[in-house]
Amino acid sequence: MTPTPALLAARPTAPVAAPSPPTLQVLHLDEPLPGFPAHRTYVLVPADGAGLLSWLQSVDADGPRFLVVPTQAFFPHYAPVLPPAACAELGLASAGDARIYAVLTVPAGDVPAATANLRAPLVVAPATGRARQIVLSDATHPIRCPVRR
Amino acid sequence: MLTLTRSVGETIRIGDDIEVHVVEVRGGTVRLGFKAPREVTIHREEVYRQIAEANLLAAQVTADTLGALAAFAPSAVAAGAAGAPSGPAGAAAPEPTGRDAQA
Repeated sequence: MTPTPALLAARPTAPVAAPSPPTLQVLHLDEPLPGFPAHRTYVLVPADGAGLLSWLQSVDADGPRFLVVPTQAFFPHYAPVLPPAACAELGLASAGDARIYAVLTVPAGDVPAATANLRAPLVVAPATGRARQIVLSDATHPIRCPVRR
Repeated sequence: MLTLTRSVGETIRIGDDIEVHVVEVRGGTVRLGFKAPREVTIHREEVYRQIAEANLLAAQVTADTLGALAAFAPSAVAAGAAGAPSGPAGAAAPEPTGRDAQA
């Protein structure tokens, strides 16, 4: 199932803005993650073969890293209302353009108790890599939603 | 800490571009309105602290959890309707069709 060399060669090589999938996405947070004020630049690194788990890794030496999951895959019914002002700040034409991730908390030695933070999703503008952890005003979204199904 | 007394309808200005309006006072609560530049985010203190604490816990994650976590991942994402969160966010959760990840 690997792409043929002919297909690869057919791709334009000129001044592309490389949207190729293997590229690690760099995320620029216009506001640091709460609790980590010193770090604003992260990369999203695939953490499993299926591409469902990703590391959100600070590019800074000794910077933090997190596990994040796309909420669409893990929580198909999750439909947060993103504040229009925040979307505009990220350069999103509409909230529908956003990619939304949830930060996982995995207790040491107790993976089944893993939870996802649905109250403060990481909202990414895919085109620009600008991102922000948006704290939703809707308190019905749990900070610790069980991941185990 | 600076302490000011304001009445309903009055405003406090912080720096050049942040305004805090006293909208309503009733009983022991006060409603405030804020005008601030977009890059200034405004949170209720206790919520912000909860998110910060959650992030600090989340940052302790280790790579050896990945294999076990993968078991909780929806296996057929593209097919959709594979399951729903058991958490309170889930609305009308469809049956997970006998799929029960064990620890």
